[in-house]
Amino acid sequence: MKGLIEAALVVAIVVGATAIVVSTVTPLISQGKSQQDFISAKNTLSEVDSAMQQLMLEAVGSRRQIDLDVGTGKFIVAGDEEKFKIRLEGYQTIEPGSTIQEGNIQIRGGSAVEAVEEEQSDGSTDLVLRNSLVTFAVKKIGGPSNWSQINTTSMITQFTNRRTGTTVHPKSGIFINDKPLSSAGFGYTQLTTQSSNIASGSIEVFVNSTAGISYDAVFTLSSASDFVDLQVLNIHGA
Amino acid sequence: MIGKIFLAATFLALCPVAFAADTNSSNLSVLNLEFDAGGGYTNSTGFQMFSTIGLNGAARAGNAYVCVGYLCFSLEQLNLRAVVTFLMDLNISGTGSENATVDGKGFGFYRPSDISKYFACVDDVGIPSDPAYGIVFSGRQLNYIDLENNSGNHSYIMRVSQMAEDNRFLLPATIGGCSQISSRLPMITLMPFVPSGETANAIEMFLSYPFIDIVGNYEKTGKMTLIMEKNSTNQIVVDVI
Repeated sequence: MKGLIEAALVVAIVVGATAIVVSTVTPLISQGKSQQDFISAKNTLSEVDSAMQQLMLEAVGSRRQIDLDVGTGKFIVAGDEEKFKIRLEGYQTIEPGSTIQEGNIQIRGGSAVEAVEEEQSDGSTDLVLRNSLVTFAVKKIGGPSNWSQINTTSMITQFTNRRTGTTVHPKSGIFINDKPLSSAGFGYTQLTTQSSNIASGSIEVFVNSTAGISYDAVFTLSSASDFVDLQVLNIHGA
Repeated sequence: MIGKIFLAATFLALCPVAFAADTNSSNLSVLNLEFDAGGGYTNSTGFQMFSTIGLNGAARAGNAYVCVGYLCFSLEQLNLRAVVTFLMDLNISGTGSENATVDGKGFGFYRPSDISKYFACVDDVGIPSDPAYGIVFSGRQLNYIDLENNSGNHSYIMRVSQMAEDNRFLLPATIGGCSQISSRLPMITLMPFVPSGETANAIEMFLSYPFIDIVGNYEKTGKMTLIMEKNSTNQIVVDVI
């Protein structure tokens, strides 16, 4: 009988100790795994960047093939924004809305941005970027295979400061070499990704202008940012 | 002797024919290029002074060269790239409580040397928390900032112009007025002008190639093979399998 009690006691101690060890070590393992995912993602992008730098210098027809493993992260080729991205969930490493640069890799933190199409009361459709601070909307015009008349002076339909509840409806304009005719022509607007839960959303505006100059303008809203980031890319014919 | 002359003549006859540059050739052309803000004119032919072109000039023609004798430079080599200008014309309440400024200065046209913080802004002290909208330069080389009072429309016209290379405009919609925007500049790291205090639960790391046309849109998790190929129009065509 005594032996039985001793055996039960030993089993209880072993099970208890194991439980304590597991509960202590699991978060550390998880933390280590997260750190490993983070470093692994950075290494992956470095590898992609290295291949891109080589391709830029090489002749037409050059090719690179890379095997990648991003685990539970999401690898994104955003051709409309000229970007390669990796999104990792469950990180609180940097201040929301901030972007830091490590070499050629930029890292930004945040929660969610909504990038959606919304019908307006007049029957038109807007492309809307929204986070907790800002709403920014551009008219939906044409599509990549369906160019339509576009004028950058009247494309922004709404720019709302959600903290103060103020909305402005600015006239705008994108001009290349300050040529008036470069602000309008044929083209399209589109969301590069449609989702209600992304770290950043972008609207691409493509203009093949009457001045004979074509370009892409990309408006980006990141989570927790109180500004819209605009870059004008792929300028041809200037 | 005759054999040697014949040999030399044969050798010369078989050599590839070479032509010196011929100004009448259709392979050569002279382009009239027009430069913005290139400085003063020379006294002779109306060309802009070379020394000033490289500083502020912007070519109005692509695929062109500037030559000194037989030594030619592409506009890209001379850094004579295009200029991008973004304009916003807006008011907030349209009342007298609005202020418009370029780095603390009033309406006007400003070159980089005229100001120290490169932004144009409109705020409205008549609204709680003083909302502010603007255009902030965040690129490589500013060209100019212009601020005008569009009195007929009770609005303000902000123009920010910069060199196309690595161009970037930030369009704030923040609080605390234009002074808050000014206090955050220059911005070494992109951060909110006034942080929201919300908690982050994700990060996104990315590579950006603003002067390369990347073709392809994919989203994938786990293991994959990335294939990138340079095509005949210098695009990088991407496939993920």
